[in-house]
Amino acid sequence: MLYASKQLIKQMLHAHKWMGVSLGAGLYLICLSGTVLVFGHEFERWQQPHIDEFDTLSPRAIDNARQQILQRSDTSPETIWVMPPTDGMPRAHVATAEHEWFTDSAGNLTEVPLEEAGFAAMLRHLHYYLHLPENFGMIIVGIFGVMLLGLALSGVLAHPAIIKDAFKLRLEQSYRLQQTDIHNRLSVWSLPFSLMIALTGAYIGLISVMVVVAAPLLYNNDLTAIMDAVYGADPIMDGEISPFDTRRALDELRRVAPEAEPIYLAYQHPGSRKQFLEIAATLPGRLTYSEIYRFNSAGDYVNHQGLSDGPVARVVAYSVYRLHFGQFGGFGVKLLYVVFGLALTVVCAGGINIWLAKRKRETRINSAWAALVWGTPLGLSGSALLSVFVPTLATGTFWGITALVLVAGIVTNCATKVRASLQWLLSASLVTLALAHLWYTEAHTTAGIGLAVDLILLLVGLTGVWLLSRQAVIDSPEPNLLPGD
Amino acid sequence: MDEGVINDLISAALCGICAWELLRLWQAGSARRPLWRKLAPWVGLVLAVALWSSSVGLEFATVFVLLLTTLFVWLLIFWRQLRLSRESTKATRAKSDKAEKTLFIAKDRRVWAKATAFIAAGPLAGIGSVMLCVALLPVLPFSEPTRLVLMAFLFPTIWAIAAVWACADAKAWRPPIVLMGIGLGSLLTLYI
Repeated sequence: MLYASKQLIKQMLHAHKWMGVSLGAGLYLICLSGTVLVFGHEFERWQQPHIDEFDTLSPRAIDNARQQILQRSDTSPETIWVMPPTDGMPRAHVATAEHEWFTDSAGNLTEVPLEEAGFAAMLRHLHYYLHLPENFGMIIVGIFGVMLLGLALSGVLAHPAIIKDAFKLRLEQSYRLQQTDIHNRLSVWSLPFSLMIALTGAYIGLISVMVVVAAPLLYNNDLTAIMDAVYGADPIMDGEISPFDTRRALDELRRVAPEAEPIYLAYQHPGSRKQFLEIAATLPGRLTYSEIYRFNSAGDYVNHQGLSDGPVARVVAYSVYRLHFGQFGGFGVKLLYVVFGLALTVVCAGGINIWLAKRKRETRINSAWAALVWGTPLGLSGSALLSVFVPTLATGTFWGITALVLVAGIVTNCATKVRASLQWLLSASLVTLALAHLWYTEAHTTAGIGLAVDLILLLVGLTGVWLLSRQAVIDSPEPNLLPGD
Repeated sequence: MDEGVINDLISAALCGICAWELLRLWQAGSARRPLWRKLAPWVGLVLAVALWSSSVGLEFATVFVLLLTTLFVWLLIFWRQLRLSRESTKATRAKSDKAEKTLFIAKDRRVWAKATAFIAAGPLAGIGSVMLCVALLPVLPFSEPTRLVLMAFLFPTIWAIAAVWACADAKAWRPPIVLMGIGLGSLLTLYI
């Protein structure tokens, strides 16, 4: 980079600019939703604060939950999943392909989770699919991952003074230089994180494309063969049809892998000769999503899938998810992921801010961008607020508010005014959200996650109000720009 | 205090010290410094990974050290900015304005060139890279899972590099032709 020719730097800068300007809004949306989604489990618990929380689910309770969901199923399910409580999600639930229920500590079914409705699901679908049809949306988000990778590469090559400027932050200088320094310092130092997020995101989003292209050309159109080659195949069982002995299987697991912490049990093909039990468990100090241990219905250990000690490629492929979503190492890692996710979001917004500042004139694009940057978190907050009362409205509310704010921004045609108004509205909506949730769900009566999330939202909202009332500049004014069209 | 917590604290402190040393190294600029002083922060980071590995494993330790060191560096940058903001002078402003001008070197292209670059960076680069990766699958000298996972990671990487090139090349017609050639060539190889 240091010795790159001027021509190369110029070309990279050009590529960086056009890729950033074309994709900035989408990247901003994905980065912001991903940052909030780091606390996805906490939001799932927050939106249903009255669900029982406990530390363990006994083998008897697991069997009870399995029997109860079987009784409520019209057809014999291919798989029954039982998720015992974990540190990150201290709630138990049981599911088939059609139904899902929370259970109490005895394994009795209690309530249906807000899986496809509610704020947490809306957030997950926004980050995974941009609310597009799932397969298509996943690919589109994957392509954004590719472009983020391209932006990181071109950004490094376009930065001839990457070491010379490594610690420079000139906030007292012109608006454009402020934005450039913030953009560069955040992006250069977080390059390993950005590359990791971009590459793992692109992998998750585009692995299906690779499989669909490779299957007809190299695997006789057998998609399963490719997935089995990467992740390992299911065992072929042919035994007596007998009731599952969950207790014995869990005892066997403790013998085979004493440090493994079960995250789910999957009863495969129950009631057939092919039946077997899979116990997925996390291993301490390992990034792999889980190791999957297989047992026959009598609870005897059969084998494990090799997701933690198999071929390196398999371990890497199965480590991608926890690494991308920050689901390892406890709450501290989640906080770090939020800080780095916010930094990446600011980098996306800052890139467009630099481009706008270089134009040396203010048009409706400036106010539209300000509306999108501050309107999106307002849309998230508004969506969460309305979904407290009507969970099914979460998605519509988010897009409704974001679109409305965008139109208002374009009509207003004054970025400074739009930014200030939306910052006030965002702070006020966070305070309203916390108070409304406390009142409506009576989360204040229990000292659980509902209360904790509400207090944090209240704190963030009040801090915003305090900063704004002191006329502190959250997003700096643009002294270089000329007013009007 | 638990031994693991002490280990965590020492490792985290080591990350902070290394970040501080990186700042001092940067401040020294081109001044002569012994090699060991230049290498010290990097060796320190490796030591932090090794130390942290003993309590949380190598995988977690690597991530923790990378993230924490970056966080410390950001804090140092912010702290330095606060300290220097009081010493801001007209001279630095003039210098910064000069620095800004260097950013205005890229010229806008015509609409057709932008449209060509968009098509080349998006669909053509995507098709070219996936076909190339699939064509390379059977010929790589690794085990099957390794080949598949390697290509699954290389596919977005090659696409990203091709997209950058498509947007950067001054001759807008060149990337689409080369990318189409790669895609068709790979497809032909697979059928042959």
